[in-house]
Amino acid sequence: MTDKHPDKQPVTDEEVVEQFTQRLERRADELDAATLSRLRQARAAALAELEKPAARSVNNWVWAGGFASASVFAVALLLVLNNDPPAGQGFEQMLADTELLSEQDELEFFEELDFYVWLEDQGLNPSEV
Amino acid sequence: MDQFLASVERRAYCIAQHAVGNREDALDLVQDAMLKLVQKYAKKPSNEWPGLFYTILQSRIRDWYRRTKVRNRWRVWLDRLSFGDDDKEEPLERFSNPNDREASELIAGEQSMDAIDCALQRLPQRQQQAFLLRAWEGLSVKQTASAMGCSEGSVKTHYSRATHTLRGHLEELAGDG
Repeated sequence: MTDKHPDKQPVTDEEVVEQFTQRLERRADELDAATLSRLRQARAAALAELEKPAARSVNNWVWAGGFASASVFAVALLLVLNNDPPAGQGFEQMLADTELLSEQDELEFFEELDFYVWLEDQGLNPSEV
Repeated sequence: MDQFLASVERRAYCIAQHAVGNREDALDLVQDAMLKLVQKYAKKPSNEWPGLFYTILQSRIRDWYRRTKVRNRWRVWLDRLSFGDDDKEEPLERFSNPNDREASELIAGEQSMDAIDCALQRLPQRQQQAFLLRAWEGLSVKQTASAMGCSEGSVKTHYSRATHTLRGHLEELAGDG
């Protein structure tokens, strides 16, 4: 490419950078109003996130609570599945329990789940307590 | 944070626009990057924001390329499924690499951009981004490597090749002028 113009001074790296960055700066300065407006909106939407720390911390607690409950439930399920159920307390009972739980008192059950696990460990039937 | 975002939003948009070649996607990418920076890194020291912001933006650009590639693959597959006509134009030819601007898009673009813009647009994507981040945005080699998800050596290679190619364009322009 340079062979075509042997009389020309070679362009230095600094000149390349300067020319291109000048052009880019000009282009950035000449952005149309619609694009600038969209950028402002994007910035405002991002900054609005700063206004929501409280909501996020509540969400974090909900997630943490949910995760803890799910973990306890999983452990309980493992215990139930790894032990022979008492007579009449097999899979059908579990299904019935699930049905009940889906209707009401979910939170209360999960809160007391470790108590039920303890009962199971003691060989006691929760329905007899 | 507001000042920082205001100071980078135009350049970030131009960088994204150079990478993906269209306004709407570029705006979406910048918005995503702003949102993520605020959500995850607002509490970091402000001198770390530029590096973090461009790391997020570059990651979003890479995701955009991946999604575009997958979308094109599905389109080709669906196209074949729907028509299955061997005489038709090869579907892949219709869905070229978004960064390949040698064809009609580039010709159309040349009407609105000057030769310098076109030279930048013609660079392979990694070289283009290395040049923009280093030369224009002023990131260090380390920050650029982190933003682009590659080694510092790769950044130096991309940057050097980009500068070499762009120098050739400038010399050609000077010769034509």
